[in-house]
Amino acid sequence: MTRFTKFLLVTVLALVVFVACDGPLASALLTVDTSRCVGCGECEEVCPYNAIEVIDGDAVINPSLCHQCNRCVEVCPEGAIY
Amino acid sequence: MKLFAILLLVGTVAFGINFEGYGQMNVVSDSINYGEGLHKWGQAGFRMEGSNWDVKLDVDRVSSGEGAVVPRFYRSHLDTQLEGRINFGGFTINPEIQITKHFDSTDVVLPLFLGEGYRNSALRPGLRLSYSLPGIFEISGRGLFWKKDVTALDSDNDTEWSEMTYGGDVLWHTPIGGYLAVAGISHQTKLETLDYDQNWSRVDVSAGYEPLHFPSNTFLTAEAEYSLYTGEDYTGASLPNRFTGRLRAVQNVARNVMFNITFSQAADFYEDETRFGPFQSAIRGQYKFGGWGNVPSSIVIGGQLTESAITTRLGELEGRISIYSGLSALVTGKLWYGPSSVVNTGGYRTREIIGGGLEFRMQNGLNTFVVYEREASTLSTNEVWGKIRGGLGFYPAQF
Repeated sequence: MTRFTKFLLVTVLALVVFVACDGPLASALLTVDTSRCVGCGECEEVCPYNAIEVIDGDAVINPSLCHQCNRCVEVCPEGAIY
Repeated sequence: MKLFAILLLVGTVAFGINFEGYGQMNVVSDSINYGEGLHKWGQAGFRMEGSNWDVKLDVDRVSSGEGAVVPRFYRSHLDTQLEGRINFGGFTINPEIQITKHFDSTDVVLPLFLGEGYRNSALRPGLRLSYSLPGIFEISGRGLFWKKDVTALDSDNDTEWSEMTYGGDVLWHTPIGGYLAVAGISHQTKLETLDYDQNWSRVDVSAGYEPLHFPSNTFLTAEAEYSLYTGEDYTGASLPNRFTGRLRAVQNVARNVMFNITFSQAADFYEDETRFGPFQSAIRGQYKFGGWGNVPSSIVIGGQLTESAITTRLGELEGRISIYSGLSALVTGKLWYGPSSVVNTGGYRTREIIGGGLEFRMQNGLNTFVVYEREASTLSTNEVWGKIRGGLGFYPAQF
């Protein structure tokens, strides 16, 4: 596979995501970037719904309990939740 | 105690056991309200390691007040986690237990708006089994169980809150420099007294490609992941399936200058429509330069933009500049824009943090630091306050 083919594949993948979305509606399901999360537990402390646990050094959000109040986003010192 | 010390010494000498300990004590106070703003954090632990096993104990104690202009979220708790690991021929057995004791009964909103409760304590035993052929194939399975002591405020009854999660994953490193992975997780939340029983599960299918021969010291990873959800969110709506595409690049400009760039975009598939999922774009640059002894100097500058139902923007600067034999100057700076839970801020606020301090690391692992930070935040009026944090610790102490 040439470098150009790889670049093309990634570009097409990104375009498919953009085209497939109806927008501008945005999903409210939060995500944790595990490459940035340091497992400090501040999000777990702040969550009023008991919806976050730190497991193996990463925050894990329970999507059934999460009310999208975004307090975890506000306190995360690493910007790992969005 | 004497018997324990003797057994530890005999074990260490006779069976070649490594024993390593660490400890850290931090104190933070700010000028918003000195009394309530005092935040104490202590952490200690040890690790014993044999030829094919290890045992680790971590104890974490946090104590802090709440209140003042900006709500503080730290409360008081004591976390104790004990973890063991036994390896034999590629197999690993990993039992663990975590005990959390909350002080001053921290409050929590119960599911289905069934009132409020108080968190008193939690017990979490778990077990992981895994097998790996390094660099080729990995498979693992895991189960965790939570028993949470949460008292309902209205009735003063125990909610009998329990949670259980189990799952597994298979990862194959392909010979052409990529990977294929399948992971699954199932989670149950149950509050017996309130008749609440909710399940959700997720299956992730992901593939990644890491070209092995990229020019000019560039390391690129492209990942695609599809997550299939079952279950409902707090409103009773079905959880959407999610597709995520990610690109990560590490560029070494010189031997001591490195850039890390990430980009990701998700799409969420609801029953009747497709929505944009979270978008993230970030860059971080690091410059390392000489220092005294084993303490190197480094400056990290980074920025991040995220978009989902909310927007965040982050710019950050971190520096450690070695001054003299273990003594370093610390510099921190952060500019952050994001959601606000403080009333009358219009849902968003900006924080500007700038600070500096000193750190001293000794050859035997002992370290101490003190940092002063000034923070300004756009609340109903622009508020400015100072924060001082300091700590003392050692890592690692070997026996």
